[in-house]
Amino acid sequence: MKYAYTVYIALLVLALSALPVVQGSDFDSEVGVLVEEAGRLYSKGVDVAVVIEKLDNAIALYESGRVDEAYVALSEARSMIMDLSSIADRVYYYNTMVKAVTVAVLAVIPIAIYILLPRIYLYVWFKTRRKWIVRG
Amino acid sequence: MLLDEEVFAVILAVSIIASALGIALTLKPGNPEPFTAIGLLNEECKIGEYPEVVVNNSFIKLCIYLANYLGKPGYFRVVYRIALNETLPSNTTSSPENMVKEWRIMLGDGENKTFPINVPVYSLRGETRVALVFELWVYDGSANTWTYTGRWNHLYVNITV
Repeated sequence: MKYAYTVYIALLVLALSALPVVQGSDFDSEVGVLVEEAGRLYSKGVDVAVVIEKLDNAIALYESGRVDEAYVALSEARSMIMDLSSIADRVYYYNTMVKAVTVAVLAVIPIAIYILLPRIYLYVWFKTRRKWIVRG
Repeated sequence: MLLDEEVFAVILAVSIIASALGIALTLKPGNPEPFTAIGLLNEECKIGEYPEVVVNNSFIKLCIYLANYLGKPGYFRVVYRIALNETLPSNTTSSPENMVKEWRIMLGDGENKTFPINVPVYSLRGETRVALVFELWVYDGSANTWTYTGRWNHLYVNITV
């Protein structure tokens, strides 16, 4: 029984190691958390271009061996995300409102055409012909 | 009726179709088919005219093109390996060969980036024809792991002494 468990665990470890995933480093995990946060803000309609630029800058610094500067850039990106988080809900509600108004306006257009077009056409028709004289 | 009924019906039909189309476009989801892309370009960052023969243990210049259409920002990694025909990656598994070099890149949604690279090339296990493999990995923040996207490029070169 013990032998079977050992084989089972060995097979499990082997199967997990065969999966195409690699454990990230501390730096990667910090960037990963910030990217997730930036993604959450982006899904609410917040412009996160500055955060992306800052994270890209941090990665470039890390890749060039300037690790301390990279972590400073990461903390700057973190504070940018915190600033943007405070307006995220407001941006989301504004975007939802704009979308709802756009849909309402688009939905009203055919009804407005159905009701107003014959009346406008008649008004213009009579206005352009009001100086006409009818002769018997 | 002064306004021809048929003309009025056509105008009304066009307005209904335009309105429905506009509403559908307004309410459509952000990115129904998320995907990523990796491309291998030559030294001038253009397609074609890739090096075919390379001196053993030398460096060659190429360019990598990356694109992110995941519908959200992504943290990517390009992994460079030297592989043989039987150790190429697939759409589900990465190459079993050792990583030679890697590049990390941050891309916003809908963004792409092209950057030059300088990679070492050498004979693998005495073979004179090797594949330069570039795999695209994306960081999964929730699992704290790099995940292979299934996107990869390769370039076959002949090694000379």
